[in-house]
Amino acid sequence: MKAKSEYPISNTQSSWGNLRFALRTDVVLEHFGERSLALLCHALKLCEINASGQQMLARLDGKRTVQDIADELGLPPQAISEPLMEMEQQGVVRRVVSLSKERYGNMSEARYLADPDVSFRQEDNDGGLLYNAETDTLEVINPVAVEIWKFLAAPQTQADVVAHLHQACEGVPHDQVAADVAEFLDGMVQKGFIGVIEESV
Amino acid sequence: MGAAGPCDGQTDLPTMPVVDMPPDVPALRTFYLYLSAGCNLHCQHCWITPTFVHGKPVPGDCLELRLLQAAVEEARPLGLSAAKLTGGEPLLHPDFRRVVDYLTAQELELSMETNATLIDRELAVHLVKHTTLKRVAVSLDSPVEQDHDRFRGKPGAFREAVRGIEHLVAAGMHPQIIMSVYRGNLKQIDGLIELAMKLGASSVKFNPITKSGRGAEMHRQGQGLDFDAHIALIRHIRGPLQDRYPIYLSAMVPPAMSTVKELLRYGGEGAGCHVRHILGILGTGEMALCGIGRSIPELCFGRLGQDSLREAWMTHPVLVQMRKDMKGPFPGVCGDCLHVGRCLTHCLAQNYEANGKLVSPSPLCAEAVRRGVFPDTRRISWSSGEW
Repeated sequence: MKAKSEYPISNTQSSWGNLRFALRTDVVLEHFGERSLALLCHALKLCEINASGQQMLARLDGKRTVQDIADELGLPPQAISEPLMEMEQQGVVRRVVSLSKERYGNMSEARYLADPDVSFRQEDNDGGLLYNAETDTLEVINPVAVEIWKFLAAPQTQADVVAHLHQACEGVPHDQVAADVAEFLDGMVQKGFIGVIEESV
Repeated sequence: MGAAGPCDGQTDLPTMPVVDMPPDVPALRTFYLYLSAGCNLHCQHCWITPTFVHGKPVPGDCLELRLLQAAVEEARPLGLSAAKLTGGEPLLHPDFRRVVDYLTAQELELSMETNATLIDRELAVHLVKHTTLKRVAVSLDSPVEQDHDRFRGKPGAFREAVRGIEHLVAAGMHPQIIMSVYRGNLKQIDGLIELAMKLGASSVKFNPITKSGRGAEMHRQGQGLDFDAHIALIRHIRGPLQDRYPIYLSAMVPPAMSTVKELLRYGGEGAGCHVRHILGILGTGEMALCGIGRSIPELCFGRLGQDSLREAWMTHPVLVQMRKDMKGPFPGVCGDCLHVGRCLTHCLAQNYEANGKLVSPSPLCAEAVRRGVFPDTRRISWSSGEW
Protein backbone atom coordinates (compact mmCIF):
# COMPACT_ATOMS: atom_id res chain seq x y z
CA MET A 1 0.00 0.00 0.00
CA LYS A 2 1.28 3.49 -0.83
CA ALA A 3 2.16 5.88 1.94
CA LYS A 4 -0.28 8.70 2.55
CA SER A 5 2.32 11.28 1.58
CA GLU A 6 2.29 9.96 -1.97
CA TYR A 7 -1.27 11.14 -2.51
CA PRO A 8 -1.50 14.73 -3.67
CA ILE A 9 -4.78 15.24 -1.86
CA SER A 10 -6.05 16.50 1.43
CA ASN A 11 -5.91 14.40 4.61
CA THR A 12 -9.54 13.41 4.38
CA GLN A 13 -9.22 12.43 0.76
CA SER A 14 -6.10 10.45 1.47
CA SER A 15 -8.16 8.46 3.97
CA TRP A 16 -10.68 7.73 1.25
CA GLY A 17 -7.87 6.44 -0.90
CA ASN A 18 -6.98 3.92 1.80
CA LEU A 19 -10.45 2.51 1.98
CA ARG A 20 -10.98 -1.07 0.92
CA PHE A 21 -14.29 -2.64 -0.01
CA ALA A 22 -15.60 -6.09 -0.87
CA LEU A 23 -18.85 -7.38 -2.30
CA ARG A 24 -21.06 -8.58 0.55
CA THR A 25 -21.27 -12.36 0.74
CA ASP A 26 -25.05 -12.17 0.84
CA VAL A 27 -25.23 -10.31 -2.46
CA VAL A 28 -25.37 -12.02 -5.85
CA LEU A 29 -24.57 -10.21 -9.09
CA GLU A 30 -26.28 -10.98 -12.38
CA HIS A 31 -24.82 -9.28 -15.43
CA PHE A 32 -26.92 -7.98 -18.32
CA GLY A 33 -24.56 -6.42 -20.85
CA GLU A 34 -23.40 -3.07 -19.57
CA ARG A 35 -25.66 -3.21 -16.56
CA SER A 36 -25.96 -5.58 -13.66
CA LEU A 37 -28.51 -6.43 -11.05
CA ALA A 38 -27.42 -7.00 -7.49
CA LEU A 39 -29.69 -9.36 -5.56
CA LEU A 40 -29.54 -8.21 -1.95
CA CYS A 41 -30.40 -11.47 -0.22
CA HIS A 42 -30.25 -9.86 3.20
CA ALA A 43 -32.92 -7.33 2.31
CA LEU A 44 -34.74 -9.23 -0.45
CA LYS A 45 -34.20 -6.31 -2.80
CA LEU A 46 -32.74 -5.71 -6.24
CA CYS A 47 -30.30 -2.94 -6.98
CA GLU A 48 -29.30 -1.81 -10.45
CA ILE A 49 -25.60 -1.27 -11.15
CA ASN A 50 -24.42 0.88 -14.07
CA ALA A 51 -21.36 0.31 -16.25
CA SER A 52 -18.90 2.25 -14.09
CA GLY A 53 -20.25 0.54 -11.00
CA GLN A 54 -19.67 -2.79 -12.74
CA GLN A 55 -16.06 -1.88 -13.36
CA MET A 56 -15.54 -1.03 -9.72
CA LEU A 57 -17.28 -4.12 -8.42
CA ALA A 58 -15.20 -6.30 -10.73
CA ARG A 59 -12.09 -5.01 -8.99
CA LEU A 60 -13.28 -5.37 -5.42
CA ASP A 61 -11.34 -8.13 -3.76
CA GLY A 62 -11.00 -6.72 -0.28
CA LYS A 63 -7.33 -6.07 -0.94
CA ARG A 64 -7.30 -3.30 -3.51
CA THR A 65 -7.69 0.17 -2.02
CA VAL A 66 -9.85 2.87 -3.54
CA GLN A 67 -6.64 4.44 -4.71
CA ASP A 68 -5.55 1.21 -6.42
CA ILE A 69 -8.86 1.01 -8.29
CA ALA A 70 -8.72 4.71 -9.12
CA ASP A 71 -5.26 4.18 -10.58
CA GLU A 72 -6.42 1.20 -12.63
CA LEU A 73 -9.42 3.06 -14.03
CA GLY A 74 -7.60 6.36 -14.45
CA LEU A 75 -10.06 8.21 -12.23
CA PRO A 76 -9.63 10.39 -9.13
CA PRO A 77 -10.14 8.45 -5.86
CA GLN A 78 -13.26 10.43 -5.05
CA ALA A 79 -14.91 9.11 -8.20
CA ILE A 80 -14.44 5.62 -6.77
CA SER A 81 -14.98 6.20 -3.06
CA GLU A 82 -18.26 8.09 -3.37
CA PRO A 83 -20.19 5.49 -5.39
CA LEU A 84 -18.71 2.69 -3.29
CA MET A 85 -19.84 4.38 -0.08
CA GLU A 86 -23.26 4.79 -1.63
CA MET A 87 -23.29 1.10 -2.49
CA GLU A 88 -22.21 0.40 1.08
CA GLN A 89 -25.26 2.26 2.37
CA GLN A 90 -27.44 0.30 -0.05
CA GLY A 91 -26.03 -2.96 1.24
CA VAL A 92 -24.21 -4.02 -1.92
CA VAL A 93 -20.65 -3.82 -0.66
CA ARG A 94 -19.02 -3.86 2.72
CA ARG A 95 -16.02 -1.99 3.97
CA VAL A 96 -12.93 -4.03 4.73
CA VAL A 97 -11.43 -2.56 7.83
CA SER A 98 -9.20 -3.52 10.67
CA LEU A 99 -11.45 -4.07 13.63
CA SER A 100 -10.28 -3.74 17.17
CA LYS A 101 -11.77 -5.63 20.08
CA GLU A 102 -10.56 -2.93 22.42
CA ARG A 103 -12.45 0.16 23.42
CA TYR A 104 -10.11 2.95 24.30
CA GLY A 105 -9.61 6.69 24.00
CA ASN A 106 -12.50 8.94 23.18
CA MET A 107 -15.17 6.36 22.49
CA SER A 108 -17.77 8.97 21.62
CA GLU A 109 -16.00 9.30 18.29
CA ALA A 110 -15.32 5.61 17.82
CA ARG A 111 -17.12 3.98 14.95
CA TYR A 112 -18.50 0.50 15.24
CA LEU A 113 -18.98 -2.05 12.53
CA ALA A 114 -20.56 -5.48 12.49
CA ASP A 115 -17.69 -7.87 11.84
CA PRO A 116 -18.17 -8.80 8.18
CA ASP A 117 -16.74 -12.26 8.84
CA VAL A 118 -19.60 -13.03 11.20
CA SER A 119 -22.50 -14.89 9.64
CA PHE A 120 -25.92 -13.52 10.56
CA ARG A 121 -28.89 -15.86 10.36
CA GLN A 122 -32.44 -14.64 10.74
CA GLU A 123 -35.16 -17.28 10.90
CA ASP A 124 -38.17 -15.27 12.02
CA ASN A 125 -39.04 -12.00 13.70
CA ASP A 126 -38.01 -13.20 17.15
CA GLY A 127 -34.32 -12.48 16.70
CA GLY A 128 -31.37 -14.10 15.00
CA LEU A 129 -28.09 -15.94 15.33
CA LEU A 130 -24.58 -14.63 14.89
CA TYR A 131 -21.91 -17.17 14.11
CA ASN A 132 -18.21 -16.47 13.95
CA ALA A 133 -16.66 -19.40 12.13
CA GLU A 134 -13.16 -18.23 12.91
CA THR A 135 -13.69 -18.50 16.66
CA ASP A 136 -16.57 -20.99 16.48
CA THR A 137 -18.67 -18.76 18.69
CA LEU A 138 -22.40 -18.35 18.56
CA GLU A 139 -24.59 -15.56 19.88
CA VAL A 140 -28.38 -15.50 19.92
CA ILE A 141 -29.73 -11.98 19.64
CA ASN A 142 -33.16 -10.47 20.14
CA PRO A 143 -35.02 -8.29 17.61
CA VAL A 144 -33.58 -5.03 18.98
CA ALA A 145 -30.08 -6.41 18.68
CA VAL A 146 -30.91 -7.52 15.15
CA GLU A 147 -31.86 -3.94 14.35
CA ILE A 148 -28.51 -2.72 15.68
CA TRP A 149 -26.64 -5.46 13.86
CA LYS A 150 -28.20 -4.51 10.53
CA PHE A 151 -27.55 -0.83 11.19
CA LEU A 152 -23.89 -1.62 11.81
CA ALA A 153 -23.48 -3.00 8.31
CA ALA A 154 -21.97 0.45 7.78
CA PRO A 155 -19.72 2.17 10.35
CA GLN A 156 -21.65 4.09 13.00
CA THR A 157 -20.84 5.93 16.19
CA GLN A 158 -22.55 5.00 19.43
CA ALA A 159 -24.61 8.20 19.13
CA ASP A 160 -25.70 7.13 15.63
CA VAL A 161 -26.87 3.79 16.98
CA VAL A 162 -28.73 5.40 19.86
CA ALA A 163 -30.44 7.87 17.53
CA HIS A 164 -31.40 5.10 15.10
CA LEU A 165 -32.74 2.87 17.82
CA HIS A 166 -34.54 5.63 19.66
CA GLN A 167 -36.42 6.34 16.47
CA ALA A 168 -37.24 2.64 16.03
CA CYS A 169 -38.27 2.05 19.66
CA GLU A 170 -41.20 4.36 20.20
CA GLY A 171 -41.88 5.39 23.76
CA VAL A 172 -38.58 4.21 25.26
CA PRO A 173 -36.72 7.00 27.10
CA HIS A 174 -33.57 8.19 25.34
CA ASP A 175 -31.40 7.56 28.43
CA GLN A 176 -32.53 3.97 28.61
CA VAL A 177 -31.82 3.41 24.93
CA ALA A 178 -28.38 4.98 25.37
CA ALA A 179 -27.57 2.80 28.36
CA ASP A 180 -28.78 -0.36 26.62
CA VAL A 181 -26.83 0.44 23.46
CA ALA A 182 -23.64 1.11 25.43
CA GLU A 183 -23.99 -2.19 27.26
CA PHE A 184 -24.76 -4.09 24.07
CA LEU A 185 -21.85 -2.59 22.13
CA ASP A 186 -19.47 -3.25 25.01
CA GLY A 187 -20.52 -6.88 25.22
CA MET A 188 -20.46 -7.51 21.51
CA VAL A 189 -17.05 -5.87 21.07
CA GLN A 190 -15.67 -8.01 23.88
CA LYS A 191 -17.10 -11.13 22.28
CA GLY A 192 -15.67 -10.17 18.93
CA PHE A 193 -18.89 -9.87 16.95
CA ILE A 194 -18.67 -6.11 16.55
CA GLY A 195 -15.43 -4.23 16.05
CA VAL A 196 -14.20 -0.69 16.53
CA ILE A 197 -12.70 0.68 13.35
CA GLU A 198 -9.03 1.34 13.92
CA GLU A 199 -8.50 3.57 10.88
CA SER A 200 -9.78 7.12 11.17
CA VAL A 201 -11.72 7.03 7.93
CA MET B 1 -37.23 -43.07 40.88
CA GLY B 2 -34.84 -42.05 38.08
CA ALA B 3 -37.86 -42.64 35.98
CA ALA B 4 -38.29 -39.22 34.52
CA GLY B 5 -35.83 -39.66 31.71
CA PRO B 6 -32.20 -40.28 31.01
CA CYS B 7 -31.08 -37.04 32.60
CA ASP B 8 -32.43 -33.87 34.14
CA GLY B 9 -29.38 -31.88 33.12
CA GLN B 10 -27.06 -30.46 35.70
CA THR B 11 -26.40 -26.91 36.64
CA ASP B 12 -22.85 -25.67 36.35
CA LEU B 13 -21.06 -26.15 39.61
CA PRO B 14 -18.06 -24.41 41.05
CA THR B 15 -14.88 -26.14 40.04
CA MET B 16 -13.14 -27.77 42.98
CA PRO B 17 -9.39 -27.91 43.18
CA VAL B 18 -8.20 -30.82 41.13
CA VAL B 19 -4.80 -32.33 41.62
CA ASP B 20 -2.59 -34.47 39.48
CA MET B 21 -4.94 -34.74 36.52
CA PRO B 22 -3.73 -35.33 32.99
CA PRO B 23 -4.84 -32.44 30.77
CA ASP B 24 -7.21 -34.58 28.70
CA VAL B 25 -9.08 -35.91 31.73
CA PRO B 26 -11.90 -33.61 32.86
CA ALA B 27 -12.74 -33.03 36.48
CA LEU B 28 -15.20 -35.48 38.00
CA ARG B 29 -17.66 -33.03 39.49
CA THR B 30 -20.83 -35.02 40.10
CA PHE B 31 -21.84 -38.48 41.19
CA TYR B 32 -25.17 -39.75 39.94
CA LEU B 33 -25.99 -42.12 42.76
CA TYR B 34 -28.54 -44.75 41.81
CA LEU B 35 -28.87 -45.51 45.49
CA SER B 36 -31.44 -48.24 45.08
CA ALA B 37 -31.91 -50.49 42.09
CA GLY B 38 -35.43 -51.09 43.29
CA CYS B 39 -38.54 -48.95 43.22
CA ASN B 40 -41.82 -49.06 45.10
CA LEU B 41 -43.69 -48.07 41.94
CA HIS B 42 -43.94 -49.97 38.67
CA CYS B 43 -44.10 -47.22 36.09
CA GLN B 44 -45.05 -48.14 32.56
CA HIS B 45 -42.36 -46.06 30.94
CA CYS B 46 -39.34 -46.29 33.25
CA TRP B 47 -36.07 -46.27 31.35
CA ILE B 48 -34.14 -47.71 34.28
CA THR B 49 -36.50 -50.69 34.77
CA PRO B 50 -35.83 -51.07 38.47
CA THR B 51 -36.84 -54.10 40.43
CA PHE B 52 -40.35 -53.65 41.83
CA VAL B 53 -40.08 -53.51 45.57
CA HIS B 54 -43.06 -54.33 47.70
CA GLY B 55 -41.83 -53.87 51.20
CA LYS B 56 -38.08 -54.02 51.73
CA PRO B 57 -35.66 -53.86 48.80
CA VAL B 58 -33.61 -56.86 47.75
CA PRO B 59 -30.22 -57.02 49.52
CA GLY B 60 -27.40 -56.14 47.16
CA ASP B 61 -29.58 -53.78 45.17
CA CYS B 62 -28.70 -50.80 47.36
CA LEU B 63 -25.38 -48.99 47.35
CA GLU B 64 -23.43 -49.86 50.45
CA LEU B 65 -22.45 -46.85 52.52
CA ARG B 66 -18.87 -48.05 52.98
CA LEU B 67 -18.46 -48.31 49.21
CA LEU B 68 -19.89 -44.85 48.75
CA GLN B 69 -17.56 -43.44 51.39
CA ALA B 70 -14.55 -44.96 49.66
CA ALA B 71 -15.76 -43.64 46.31
CA VAL B 72 -16.17 -40.11 47.65
CA GLU B 73 -12.70 -40.20 49.15
CA GLU B 74 -11.25 -41.34 45.86
CA ALA B 75 -13.22 -38.84 43.83
CA ARG B 76 -12.56 -35.78 46.00
CA PRO B 77 -9.12 -35.10 44.49
CA LEU B 78 -10.65 -35.52 41.02
CA GLY B 79 -12.93 -32.54 41.66
CA LEU B 80 -16.07 -34.04 43.16
CA SER B 81 -18.39 -31.32 44.46
CA ALA B 82 -21.93 -32.60 43.98
CA ALA B 83 -24.12 -35.67 43.93
CA LYS B 84 -27.52 -36.47 42.57
CA LEU B 85 -29.53 -39.03 44.51
CA THR B 86 -31.70 -41.13 42.28
CA GLY B 87 -32.60 -44.74 41.66
CA GLY B 88 -34.86 -46.70 41.44
CA GLU B 89 -36.34 -44.85 44.34
CA PRO B 90 -33.48 -43.44 46.44
CA LEU B 91 -35.57 -43.31 49.60
CA LEU B 92 -35.82 -47.09 49.57
CA HIS B 93 -32.18 -47.26 50.59
CA PRO B 94 -32.21 -48.71 54.12
CA ASP B 95 -29.49 -46.26 55.20
CA PHE B 96 -30.80 -43.31 53.23
CA ARG B 97 -30.55 -40.86 56.09
CA ARG B 98 -26.98 -41.89 56.89
CA VAL B 99 -26.07 -41.61 53.21
CA VAL B 100 -27.44 -38.08 53.00
CA ASP B 101 -25.88 -37.03 56.28
CA TYR B 102 -22.52 -38.41 55.17
CA LEU B 103 -22.67 -36.58 51.83
CA THR B 104 -23.70 -33.42 53.66
CA ALA B 105 -20.74 -33.77 56.03
CA GLN B 106 -18.58 -34.01 52.91
CA GLU B 107 -20.07 -30.65 51.82
CA LEU B 108 -21.29 -32.06 48.52
CA GLU B 109 -24.14 -30.13 46.94
CA LEU B 110 -27.05 -32.53 46.65
CA SER B 111 -30.03 -32.91 44.38
CA MET B 112 -32.57 -35.72 44.34
CA GLU B 113 -35.03 -37.37 41.99
CA THR B 114 -37.80 -39.14 43.83
CA ASN B 115 -41.40 -40.20 43.52
CA ALA B 116 -41.89 -38.53 46.93
CA THR B 117 -44.17 -41.28 48.17
CA LEU B 118 -41.86 -42.03 51.10
CA ILE B 119 -41.29 -38.46 52.25
CA ASP B 120 -42.94 -37.70 55.58
CA ARG B 121 -42.92 -34.42 57.48
CA GLU B 122 -39.98 -35.29 59.68
CA LEU B 123 -37.79 -36.43 56.78
CA ALA B 124 -38.70 -33.34 54.74
CA VAL B 125 -37.67 -31.06 57.58
CA HIS B 126 -34.43 -32.96 58.07
CA LEU B 127 -33.56 -32.83 54.38
CA VAL B 128 -34.34 -29.16 54.03
CA LYS B 129 -32.93 -27.88 57.30
CA HIS B 130 -30.01 -30.16 58.01
CA THR B 131 -28.55 -31.33 54.71
CA THR B 132 -26.96 -29.82 51.63
CA LEU B 133 -29.90 -30.86 49.48
CA LYS B 134 -30.60 -27.96 47.10
CA ARG B 135 -33.00 -29.35 44.53
CA VAL B 136 -35.65 -32.05 44.45
CA ALA B 137 -37.50 -33.30 41.39
CA VAL B 138 -40.70 -35.26 41.85
CA SER B 139 -42.57 -37.25 39.21
CA LEU B 140 -46.21 -36.46 38.63
CA ASP B 141 -47.71 -37.47 35.33
CA SER B 142 -51.30 -36.42 35.64
CA PRO B 143 -53.49 -34.14 37.72
CA VAL B 144 -56.00 -37.00 37.80
CA GLU B 145 -55.35 -39.40 40.65
CA GLN B 146 -56.51 -42.56 38.87
CA ASP B 147 -54.50 -41.78 35.73
CA HIS B 148 -51.31 -41.16 37.67
CA ASP B 149 -51.80 -44.33 39.71
CA ARG B 150 -52.45 -46.41 36.60
CA PHE B 151 -49.35 -45.04 34.88
CA ARG B 152 -47.21 -45.51 37.99
CA GLY B 153 -48.57 -49.00 38.57
CA LYS B 154 -49.65 -48.55 42.15
CA PRO B 155 -52.92 -47.42 43.71
CA GLY B 156 -52.37 -44.55 46.13
CA ALA B 157 -49.18 -43.35 44.40
CA PHE B 158 -50.73 -39.99 43.53
CA ARG B 159 -51.90 -39.20 47.04
CA GLU B 160 -48.61 -40.27 48.56
CA ALA B 161 -46.64 -38.19 46.07
CA VAL B 162 -48.78 -35.12 46.66
CA ARG B 163 -48.41 -35.55 50.38
CA GLY B 164 -44.65 -35.84 50.02
CA ILE B 165 -44.56 -32.67 47.94
CA GLU B 166 -46.65 -30.86 50.53
CA HIS B 167 -44.20 -31.89 53.26
CA LEU B 168 -41.28 -30.62 51.21
CA VAL B 169 -42.98 -27.30 50.48
CA ALA B 170 -43.99 -26.87 54.11
CA ALA B 171 -40.35 -27.39 55.07
CA GLY B 172 -39.25 -24.75 52.58
CA MET B 173 -38.23 -26.83 49.55
CA HIS B 174 -40.14 -26.07 46.36
CA PRO B 175 -39.55 -29.09 44.15
CA GLN B 176 -39.54 -29.36 40.41
CA ILE B 177 -42.35 -31.50 39.05
CA ILE B 178 -41.40 -33.82 36.23
CA MET B 179 -44.12 -34.99 33.89
CA SER B 180 -43.37 -37.97 31.70
CA VAL B 181 -45.33 -37.21 28.57
CA TYR B 182 -46.96 -39.78 26.32
CA ARG B 183 -50.02 -39.75 24.09
CA GLY B 184 -52.29 -40.66 26.99
CA ASN B 185 -51.57 -37.56 29.07
CA LEU B 186 -50.98 -34.92 26.40
CA LYS B 187 -54.32 -33.30 27.18
CA GLN B 188 -53.51 -33.11 30.87
CA ILE B 189 -50.53 -30.81 30.59
CA ASP B 190 -52.42 -27.66 31.55
CA GLY B 191 -54.02 -29.41 34.48
CA LEU B 192 -50.66 -30.71 35.65
CA ILE B 193 -49.13 -27.23 35.49
CA GLU B 194 -52.01 -25.81 37.49
CA LEU B 195 -51.63 -28.57 40.07
CA ALA B 196 -47.88 -27.92 40.31
CA MET B 197 -48.53 -24.23 40.94
CA LYS B 198 -51.15 -25.02 43.54
CA LEU B 199 -48.74 -27.36 45.33
CA GLY B 200 -46.00 -24.73 45.39
CA ALA B 201 -43.59 -26.33 42.91
CA SER B 202 -40.74 -24.23 41.59
CA SER B 203 -40.95 -25.47 38.01
CA VAL B 204 -42.35 -28.15 35.76
CA LYS B 205 -40.24 -30.20 33.42
CA PHE B 206 -41.62 -32.27 30.59
CA ASN B 207 -39.87 -35.44 29.50
CA PRO B 208 -41.38 -37.28 26.56
CA ILE B 209 -40.99 -40.97 27.34
CA THR B 210 -37.96 -42.49 25.66
CA LYS B 211 -37.51 -45.76 23.83
CA SER B 212 -35.32 -47.04 26.65
CA GLY B 213 -36.29 -49.67 29.21
CA ARG B 214 -40.05 -50.12 29.60
CA GLY B 215 -40.57 -47.05 27.44
CA ALA B 216 -39.64 -49.15 24.41
CA GLU B 217 -42.79 -51.22 24.83
CA MET B 218 -44.93 -48.09 25.16
CA HIS B 219 -43.46 -46.80 21.90
CA ARG B 220 -44.18 -50.15 20.22
CA GLN B 221 -47.78 -49.77 21.36
CA GLY B 222 -47.95 -46.31 19.79
CA GLN B 223 -48.06 -44.51 23.13
CA GLY B 224 -44.82 -42.62 22.62
CA LEU B 225 -44.59 -39.29 20.84
CA ASP B 226 -43.40 -39.44 17.26
CA PHE B 227 -41.15 -36.74 15.81
CA ASP B 228 -43.93 -34.34 14.88
CA ALA B 229 -45.71 -34.71 18.21
CA HIS B 230 -42.45 -34.32 20.10
CA ILE B 231 -41.53 -31.10 18.30
CA ALA B 232 -45.07 -29.76 18.62
CA LEU B 233 -44.95 -30.45 22.35
CA ILE B 234 -41.66 -28.59 22.76
CA ARG B 235 -42.99 -25.60 20.78
CA HIS B 236 -46.19 -25.56 22.82
CA ILE B 237 -44.48 -25.77 26.21
CA ARG B 238 -41.69 -23.30 25.55
CA GLY B 239 -43.95 -20.89 23.69
CA PRO B 240 -47.66 -20.38 24.48
CA LEU B 241 -47.67 -22.32 27.74
CA GLN B 242 -44.65 -20.50 29.15
CA ASP B 243 -46.26 -17.23 28.03
CA ARG B 244 -49.43 -18.17 29.88
CA TYR B 245 -48.12 -19.56 33.17
CA PRO B 246 -45.81 -17.78 35.63
CA ILE B 247 -44.18 -21.04 36.74
CA TYR B 248 -40.96 -21.99 34.97
CA LEU B 249 -41.53 -24.68 32.33
CA SER B 250 -38.76 -26.62 30.72
CA ALA B 251 -38.11 -29.42 28.29
CA MET B 252 -34.79 -30.74 27.09
CA VAL B 253 -34.19 -30.57 23.39
CA PRO B 254 -31.07 -30.23 21.23
CA PRO B 255 -30.51 -26.51 20.67
CA ALA B 256 -30.58 -26.97 16.90
CA MET B 257 -34.22 -27.96 17.30
CA SER B 258 -35.03 -24.86 19.36
CA THR B 259 -36.41 -21.68 17.89
CA VAL B 260 -34.55 -18.41 18.32
CA LYS B 261 -37.20 -17.31 20.79
CA GLU B 262 -36.63 -20.46 22.84
CA LEU B 263 -32.87 -20.00 22.75
CA LEU B 264 -33.31 -16.45 23.99
CA ARG B 265 -35.75 -17.50 26.69
CA TYR B 266 -33.94 -20.58 27.95
CA GLY B 267 -30.33 -19.79 27.11
CA GLY B 268 -28.22 -22.90 27.31
CA GLU B 269 -30.59 -24.74 29.63
CA GLY B 270 -30.99 -28.33 28.54
CA ALA B 271 -28.61 -27.82 25.67
CA GLY B 272 -26.35 -30.72 26.34
CA CYS B 273 -25.24 -33.44 28.65
CA HIS B 274 -22.62 -32.78 31.32
CA VAL B 275 -21.53 -36.39 31.13
CA ARG B 276 -17.87 -35.39 30.81
CA HIS B 277 -18.00 -34.43 34.48
CA ILE B 278 -20.36 -37.13 35.76
CA LEU B 279 -19.89 -40.65 36.99
CA GLY B 280 -22.88 -42.88 37.63
CA ILE B 281 -22.76 -45.31 40.54
CA LEU B 282 -25.38 -48.01 40.46
CA GLY B 283 -27.00 -49.62 43.48
CA THR B 284 -24.90 -52.70 42.82
CA GLY B 285 -21.72 -50.63 43.23
CA GLU B 286 -20.94 -50.63 39.54
CA MET B 287 -19.47 -47.46 38.07
CA ALA B 288 -21.28 -46.47 34.91
CA LEU B 289 -21.79 -43.67 32.44
CA CYS B 290 -25.17 -43.00 34.05
CA GLY B 291 -28.30 -45.06 34.71
CA ILE B 292 -27.98 -46.57 31.26
CA GLY B 293 -25.31 -48.84 32.72
CA ARG B 294 -28.09 -50.86 34.33
CA SER B 295 -29.30 -52.08 30.96
CA ILE B 296 -26.11 -51.77 28.87
CA PRO B 297 -23.21 -53.51 30.63
CA GLU B 298 -20.56 -52.18 28.23
CA LEU B 299 -21.24 -48.72 29.67
CA CYS B 300 -20.10 -49.88 33.11
CA PHE B 301 -16.50 -49.24 34.10
CA GLY B 302 -15.87 -51.53 37.04
CA ARG B 303 -17.16 -52.13 40.54
CA LEU B 304 -16.54 -50.15 43.69
CA GLY B 305 -14.61 -52.21 46.22
CA GLN B 306 -12.92 -54.19 43.47
CA ASP B 307 -11.74 -51.62 40.97
CA SER B 308 -10.13 -48.23 41.39
CA LEU B 309 -12.53 -45.36 40.71
CA ARG B 310 -9.63 -43.06 39.91
CA GLU B 311 -8.20 -45.50 37.38
CA ALA B 312 -11.59 -46.12 35.80
CA TRP B 313 -12.20 -42.37 35.46
CA MET B 314 -8.82 -41.74 33.93
CA THR B 315 -8.27 -44.76 31.73
CA HIS B 316 -11.41 -46.70 30.95
CA PRO B 317 -11.47 -47.09 27.15
CA VAL B 318 -15.14 -46.05 26.85
CA LEU B 319 -14.52 -42.80 28.71
CA VAL B 320 -11.25 -42.12 26.92
CA GLN B 321 -12.90 -42.66 23.53
CA MET B 322 -15.92 -40.56 24.50
CA ARG B 323 -13.72 -37.64 25.54
CA LYS B 324 -11.74 -37.92 22.33
CA ASP B 325 -14.92 -38.01 20.23
CA MET B 326 -16.33 -35.00 22.08
CA LYS B 327 -13.47 -32.90 20.84
CA GLY B 328 -14.66 -33.48 17.28
CA PRO B 329 -14.85 -33.76 14.40
CA PHE B 330 -18.42 -34.77 15.12
CA PRO B 331 -20.27 -37.32 13.00
CA GLY B 332 -23.27 -36.68 10.77
CA VAL B 333 -25.19 -33.47 11.00
CA CYS B 334 -23.39 -32.59 14.27
CA GLY B 335 -20.24 -31.99 12.26
CA ASP B 336 -21.99 -29.15 10.45
CA CYS B 337 -24.02 -27.77 13.35
CA LEU B 338 -23.51 -24.35 14.93
CA HIS B 339 -24.52 -25.65 18.33
CA VAL B 340 -22.32 -28.71 18.65
CA GLY B 341 -19.75 -27.00 20.88
CA ARG B 342 -22.39 -26.59 23.54
CA CYS B 343 -24.75 -29.43 22.71
CA LEU B 344 -21.99 -32.06 22.42
CA THR B 345 -24.62 -34.31 20.75
CA HIS B 346 -27.13 -33.83 23.60
CA CYS B 347 -28.05 -36.98 25.57
CA LEU B 348 -25.33 -39.56 25.01
CA ALA B 349 -27.34 -42.34 26.63
CA GLN B 350 -30.17 -41.88 24.14
CA ASN B 351 -27.65 -41.63 21.30
CA TYR B 352 -26.15 -44.95 22.34
CA GLU B 353 -29.53 -46.62 22.43
CA ALA B 354 -30.36 -45.27 18.99
CA ASN B 355 -27.01 -45.51 17.21
CA GLY B 356 -24.79 -47.77 19.30
CA LYS B 357 -22.43 -44.83 19.64
CA LEU B 358 -22.28 -42.27 22.43
CA VAL B 359 -21.06 -39.28 20.44
CA SER B 360 -23.45 -39.32 17.52
CA PRO B 361 -26.42 -37.26 16.32
CA SER B 362 -29.32 -37.22 18.76
CA PRO B 363 -32.35 -39.19 17.56
CA LEU B 364 -34.32 -35.96 17.20
CA CYS B 365 -31.71 -34.22 15.03
CA ALA B 366 -31.10 -37.37 12.98
CA GLU B 367 -34.82 -37.69 12.30
CA ALA B 368 -35.02 -34.01 11.35
CA VAL B 369 -32.27 -34.60 8.81
CA ARG B 370 -34.05 -37.68 7.43
CA ARG B 371 -37.22 -35.66 7.03
CA GLY B 372 -35.39 -32.73 5.48
CA VAL B 373 -36.52 -30.37 8.24
CA PHE B 374 -33.24 -29.81 10.03
CA PRO B 375 -32.92 -26.01 9.95
CA ASP B 376 -30.36 -25.03 7.31
CA THR B 377 -29.58 -21.83 9.20
CA ARG B 378 -28.10 -23.96 11.99
CA ARG B 379 -25.59 -25.49 9.63
CA ILE B 380 -22.11 -24.04 9.66
CA SER B 381 -22.03 -24.42 5.89
CA TRP B 382 -25.19 -22.31 5.43
CA SER B 383 -24.79 -19.23 3.32
CA SER B 384 -27.51 -16.77 2.48
CA GLY B 385 -25.71 -15.95 -0.77
CA GLU B 386 -26.07 -19.41 -2.26
CA TRP B 387 -28.94 -18.94 -4.70
